[in-house]
Amino acid sequence: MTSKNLYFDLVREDLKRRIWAVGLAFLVFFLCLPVVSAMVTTEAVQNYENWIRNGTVFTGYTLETKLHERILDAAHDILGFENFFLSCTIVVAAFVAAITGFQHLNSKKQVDFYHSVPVRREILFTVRYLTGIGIMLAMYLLNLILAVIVFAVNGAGPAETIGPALITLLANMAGFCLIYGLMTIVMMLTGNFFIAVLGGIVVFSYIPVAALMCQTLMEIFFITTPGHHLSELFDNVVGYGSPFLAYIRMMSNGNNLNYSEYAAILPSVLKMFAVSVVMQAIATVLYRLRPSEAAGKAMAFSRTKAPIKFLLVTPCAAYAAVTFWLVYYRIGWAVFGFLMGLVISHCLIEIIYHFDFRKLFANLPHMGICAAFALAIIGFFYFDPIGYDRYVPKEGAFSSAAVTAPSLDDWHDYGIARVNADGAYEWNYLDENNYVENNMTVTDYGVIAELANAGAARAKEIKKWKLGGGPRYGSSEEEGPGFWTYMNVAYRLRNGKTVYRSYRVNVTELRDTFDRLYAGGEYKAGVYPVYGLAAESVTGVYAAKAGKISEITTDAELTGELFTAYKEDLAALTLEQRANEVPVASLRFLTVSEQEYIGMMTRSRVTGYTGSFRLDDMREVNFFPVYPSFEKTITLLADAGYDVDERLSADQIARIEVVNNYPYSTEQKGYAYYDYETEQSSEDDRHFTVRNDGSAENEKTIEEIVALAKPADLVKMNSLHGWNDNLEFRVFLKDEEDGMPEESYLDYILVTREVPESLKERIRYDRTESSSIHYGLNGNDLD
Amino acid sequence: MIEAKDLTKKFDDIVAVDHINARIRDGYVFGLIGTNGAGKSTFLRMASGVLKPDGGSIRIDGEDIYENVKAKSRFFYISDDQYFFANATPEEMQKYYRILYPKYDTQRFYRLLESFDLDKRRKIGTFSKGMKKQLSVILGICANTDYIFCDETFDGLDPVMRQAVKSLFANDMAERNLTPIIASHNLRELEDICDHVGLLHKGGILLSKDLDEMKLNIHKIQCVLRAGMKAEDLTGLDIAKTETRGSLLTLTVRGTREEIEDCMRSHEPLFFETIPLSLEEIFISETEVAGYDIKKLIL
Repeated sequence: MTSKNLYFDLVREDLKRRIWAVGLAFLVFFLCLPVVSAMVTTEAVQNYENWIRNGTVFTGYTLETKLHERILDAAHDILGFENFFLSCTIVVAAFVAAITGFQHLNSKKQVDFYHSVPVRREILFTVRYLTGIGIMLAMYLLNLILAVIVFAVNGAGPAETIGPALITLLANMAGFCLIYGLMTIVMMLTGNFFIAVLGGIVVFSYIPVAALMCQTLMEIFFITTPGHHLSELFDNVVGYGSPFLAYIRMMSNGNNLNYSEYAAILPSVLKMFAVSVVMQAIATVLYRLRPSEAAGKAMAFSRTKAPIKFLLVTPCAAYAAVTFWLVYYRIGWAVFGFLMGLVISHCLIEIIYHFDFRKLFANLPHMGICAAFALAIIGFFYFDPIGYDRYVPKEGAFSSAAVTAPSLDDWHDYGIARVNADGAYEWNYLDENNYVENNMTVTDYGVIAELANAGAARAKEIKKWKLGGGPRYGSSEEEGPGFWTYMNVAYRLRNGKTVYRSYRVNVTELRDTFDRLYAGGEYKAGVYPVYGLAAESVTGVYAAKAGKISEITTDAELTGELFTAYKEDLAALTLEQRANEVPVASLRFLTVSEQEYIGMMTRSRVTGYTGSFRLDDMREVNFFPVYPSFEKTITLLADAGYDVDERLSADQIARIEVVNNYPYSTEQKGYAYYDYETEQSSEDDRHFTVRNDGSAENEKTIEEIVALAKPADLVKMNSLHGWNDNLEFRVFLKDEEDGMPEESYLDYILVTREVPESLKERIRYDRTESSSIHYGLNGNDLD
Repeated sequence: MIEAKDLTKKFDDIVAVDHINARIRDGYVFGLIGTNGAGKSTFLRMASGVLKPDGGSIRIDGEDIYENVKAKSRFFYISDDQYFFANATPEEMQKYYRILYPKYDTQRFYRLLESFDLDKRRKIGTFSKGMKKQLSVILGICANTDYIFCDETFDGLDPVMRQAVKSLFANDMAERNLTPIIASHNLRELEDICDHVGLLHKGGILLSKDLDEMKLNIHKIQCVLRAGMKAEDLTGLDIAKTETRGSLLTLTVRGTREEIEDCMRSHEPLFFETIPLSLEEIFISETEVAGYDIKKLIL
């Protein structure tokens, strides 16, 4: 008998044994695919019949086209990546197939039977392994065909559905093979069902959990750890550290694709298949090496016991120590946590290994080794022998750097409109840190080194302080006076590497250095996206102030002049100017792609387009501040008829709602939030309303408010100037100008401690206490 | 020929088979005797390629057995608790074995099923323990392999069935030189079938001898000596054991029958006769020589 015949004969026999799996897989896929397909198509057809009955009309669509579109959408949902139940089926089936396929290895009786017959173990394994995959594939494919037929009968032809459906099938099978492969390896390594399940949980979660533990330890002990980069790094480790999560991530990525883009997932699918082939090879070798006497034992290979125990006990002890230490920052609790984590995990594993509670203290030397390594891990993070927090690149190794300091330039959302694979425009928000890291190239080593050294010195203080009594970490009294900011630095080295660090620095103390950094064009070119725009791509200029967007010009010449003037003014801007000035307006330089995008959005909205970006969001993104010192820009804006100094008058205002964040004393309670106009208590006792009801007193108060308060959107574009958060003003206009919806309002805020006198008296505002003052760069007080 | 040289197998700290040396000649029935835990099953599991020896070797005609398909196709292993597929019938089991053993005799399988009164379509799960044992033997014997390994196979068979199985073995030994290797903890089960016996104890082999050889070299003499004579006075006899009941002496004596009878005659007893020894008695005397009390080992 040839081995080929033998193989197929054994497959046939194996299928007889696993006929239950065939039936179960068919049933589940049948419900997930053709049955659901039939249900949704029936519903779509019913809707179509209702449309005819009701005389429904869709603009630009015939009813048949609309029905076809609905059915095609349903086909995409069911046959594509969006079918959540299909993904769940794949995951559960992979675990079940691996466990049931190789459960015989845990039975001495069955092992004696299978391993005494004249068949190579590799053949026995391959038959079992591939039959498991074959059952899934066959049942999936069969039901997929049935589902495609269901859709075809209802008008969505196979040409429209089969391609993406097959890609989804490949992706699902890749995920199945990956999970199945690893679980099979677990089955090879264990000799008992219960231990196999436990082992599966450990293996499938070990790398993600270990990565999260490592990330936590870094964030606790390495003060200069760059949070966002660390998260990205560990997200990848977590995402690809387990077949289950890798599969979920791939399906999630696929879910974000349009149907026509499904092929983009194929490289990931192929990688998964490649990895699953490697897993199959490993599992085959393990099957061959697996001693038959392992049946019924906890672990199939004695040699794996100690390493696995080490890999589990060591992090348990280290992490338990740190966790208990974090509760009270006391060494005693750390020791308790350490011993608890060490002893419990070690004893538990020994009990499991021996299936005997009395063996809980077996192999005590192993516990000692684990303890030593756990202490080494804690020591590594605690004492920082590699000088992680001290790191500053040497001048010879330094190439350039990118610096983000959120307290200096905390930008609003920024993004660009891009053309996707379908040729349509779509909006992409840009992460501020990523933008800066990709666009800023500060080459002045002196500036960077001064900032980094100051940051490293501060990190040392923070660590000492944190490890000494942590709870007060971050409190303002510990930081001392001055304007503090976090600072993320990406060091680009000559060897091509990029090293990331995050610091806490006092801008006031480093004012000279920051002035040099800010004055240099490299910083601004990297942090202000306006420098990334090409002049020829700018099609028009729009100004925004207090929620009102105005078109300044679409004239190419004036647009170009304004664009150039703004960039020049911005380049000349100093930190000192920013510390003293509040933006008077903000400008948007609309690009060609943005214009296209807006046009597409406007057209799509009619057809029910639901993108992630709406027209209203244009108020929030890509506007740049205009400071009073921007003379060239302001002059050109004035030439174009836009007065940056124009402010609201009392006549335009219907009412102003004052939100009082000021902490009031007991005797003031019940007074500050009494509505004088209505003579009723406000529902929200923090709100006080001044209505423009014609009374001289209210008109005066309103005049005083609009004279002192500034639009919050402009004020908060510059965090180097202080503002007073004790009071917020919600300005409701008489005319709902510019299409502002009813009950929407404009936010105003004070940039001074000065409070309108008439208002101060009416709400008993006491400025001696300052709870919500945002301090600017130039001192601890406002103007 | 199956040959074990220094064959050793450990399970963690327990030495299950300890440097066993044995030769199993083709065409003879090899009995493997020992108490529970003596290492019989472990020996057979190594002989059938289920377990990999930790030391030494076990070979069929010079070829290692473990993971050797060619060697494994020459035997059929019946474990002490044979596995049958869930819900399988004898017929389905036969179909599976037919794939694995090219010389499988399907017609004989059905004939034997009928003669043993086993229903080919009845689920094996409903069979009694004895019926399962019968089925195992039938499945094994129809595989037409050179060797058949039986681990406690006769345990659970009634005397009639035991005899029937022995007849099957005898038939195949005669027709195609089958070599059965039978492990049992019960000496009496093997008495009338084994040609060669290996006695295992605590993983080691105490003795391994042909039964005929043992029978030729040890005899039981019942005699009545002249007045005043004692067993010690019978010089020239290698007496292994003496039992006295009144004036009747029962002696277990080593040596050929002729030598012993000549010697007895020379001492002019009032009466003597040579009677055959049971396998049990042979083992008692043989193991006593080795310093063991056989009754504690296997009886």
